Amino acid sequence: MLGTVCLASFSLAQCKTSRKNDLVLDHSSTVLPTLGIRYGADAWLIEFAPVVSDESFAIAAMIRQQLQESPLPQLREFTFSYTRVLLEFMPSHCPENAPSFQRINISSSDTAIKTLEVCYDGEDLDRVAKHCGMTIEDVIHRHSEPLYQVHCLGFSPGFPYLSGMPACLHTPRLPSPRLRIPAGSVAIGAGQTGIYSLPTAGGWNLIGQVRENLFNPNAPLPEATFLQAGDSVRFIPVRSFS
Amino acid sequence: MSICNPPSNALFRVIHAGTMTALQDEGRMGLKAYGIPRGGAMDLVALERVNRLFDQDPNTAAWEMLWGGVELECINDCWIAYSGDSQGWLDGKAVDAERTVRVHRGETLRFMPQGKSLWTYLATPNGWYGPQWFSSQSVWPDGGMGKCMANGDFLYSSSQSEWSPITGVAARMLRPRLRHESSPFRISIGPQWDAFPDSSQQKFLHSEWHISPQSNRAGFRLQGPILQVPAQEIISEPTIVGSIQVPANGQPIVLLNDGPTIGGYSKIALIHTDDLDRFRQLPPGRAVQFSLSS
Repeated sequence: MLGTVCLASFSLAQCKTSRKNDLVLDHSSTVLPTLGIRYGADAWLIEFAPVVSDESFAIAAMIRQQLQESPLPQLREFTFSYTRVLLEFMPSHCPENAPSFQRINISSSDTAIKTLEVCYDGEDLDRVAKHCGMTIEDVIHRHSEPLYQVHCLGFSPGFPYLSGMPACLHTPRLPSPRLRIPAGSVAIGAGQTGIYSLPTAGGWNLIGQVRENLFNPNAPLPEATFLQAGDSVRFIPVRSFS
Repeated sequence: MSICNPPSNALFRVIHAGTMTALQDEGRMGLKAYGIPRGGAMDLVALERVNRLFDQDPNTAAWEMLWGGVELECINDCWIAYSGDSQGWLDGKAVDAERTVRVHRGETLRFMPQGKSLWTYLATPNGWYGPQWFSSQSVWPDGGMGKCMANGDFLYSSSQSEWSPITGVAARMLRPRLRHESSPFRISIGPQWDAFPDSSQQKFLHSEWHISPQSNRAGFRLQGPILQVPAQEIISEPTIVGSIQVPANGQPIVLLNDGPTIGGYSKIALIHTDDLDRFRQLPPGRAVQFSLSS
């Protein structure tokens, strides 16, 4: 799928190793296998895993640590998603070749397990239950069972992209996004689950509500976001918030 | 704050706040990993130019006015300058853009829309007083970072020190800004370019698009032929200001300053950084064409 992207922006030699299908995880090498996609004049989009998994979570942590400990020259900004990291450089300082990263041991991190009470009363709970062929109680039970991992924050400030949702809860995004979603809405978008952090537009299925404020613009970082990339999250179903 | 008893260091009292007038500097950088978008001025060159008139940091915040419609009563003598398409009037006398202007107590400063471009910037020496969020004064109401100008507000200078122009010079002005108003916007291909059918790629490159009225600081929607989107959904991935995503309805959205930092729609292209200021000034209805640049 990325063949043309490749031809337009890479040498042919690089292209051979940049085919999406070639992105297999080779544990013997110390260099992480990645696919570099040139994204405009000032950025590289690096794919470090083909799918969302525990492996992609671990690799993201390795790359994040390297970016923090030995920053790339003239790197203005980096943004992680589940399987890709965007490296944005200062104008006209983008390197010719995509940066590469090492397979490293992650220094013992003190990632937190954060518990959030969820009142499962979202507008789309019925839709999710119908789509998944379950009762509402099943949806609540299955959704609150796993220990989720925060792969990254993004979309809006403090919005966590979680992994660990059971595949049976996979529900397509709404055909047309809602214009305004209440902050704190727990939602399912296809195979992903997350929590809206601000009253924004969005197309995910709303299944519940948390009480916590996920983003406080008047607090310093990193405390401004309730959750951090790397955290684990447990949802506790509650009938109502007293 | 009562109107009869204005604070002594206020420069202006707001009579009409306009549709969407807010302080903007160059925005906040390095925070996308928290999901915090850059925000900041939609026309960075205009902001830089108006600050240059006062020899100040291009990152100094100015009032960003959408169209105009702003009316301010001067409370204390001060200097101002503006940059943009709105026409400034001081007590009924037209004042030029990109020129320092002395405003006196009791005079009324107004900005009238001319309709050619969206954003006009109003600067004062040392910048305007206003709170900061993550080291930037850029206002982003949806993100809980401040609010737009409101009728009755007072506008303060961020400093008590007086700016003085070079002796013997009545006003400073800039040479007119060169713009290639009608040339196509340069784009690079987006990460999912190749996943779009050939017909969609061709339609995207060779059609005339129009800026939809449903546009804002988070993104401009484009109206034109329906593009067929890739059959396979992507895993949500980071976005760049200027990336052009195509949701299921086949009508592209250009993600801009206050837009999402991660998105799940396929991105067909990315507008060249150097063409973004001109793009973000386009009013609804304006025709746009894109050209692929290497």
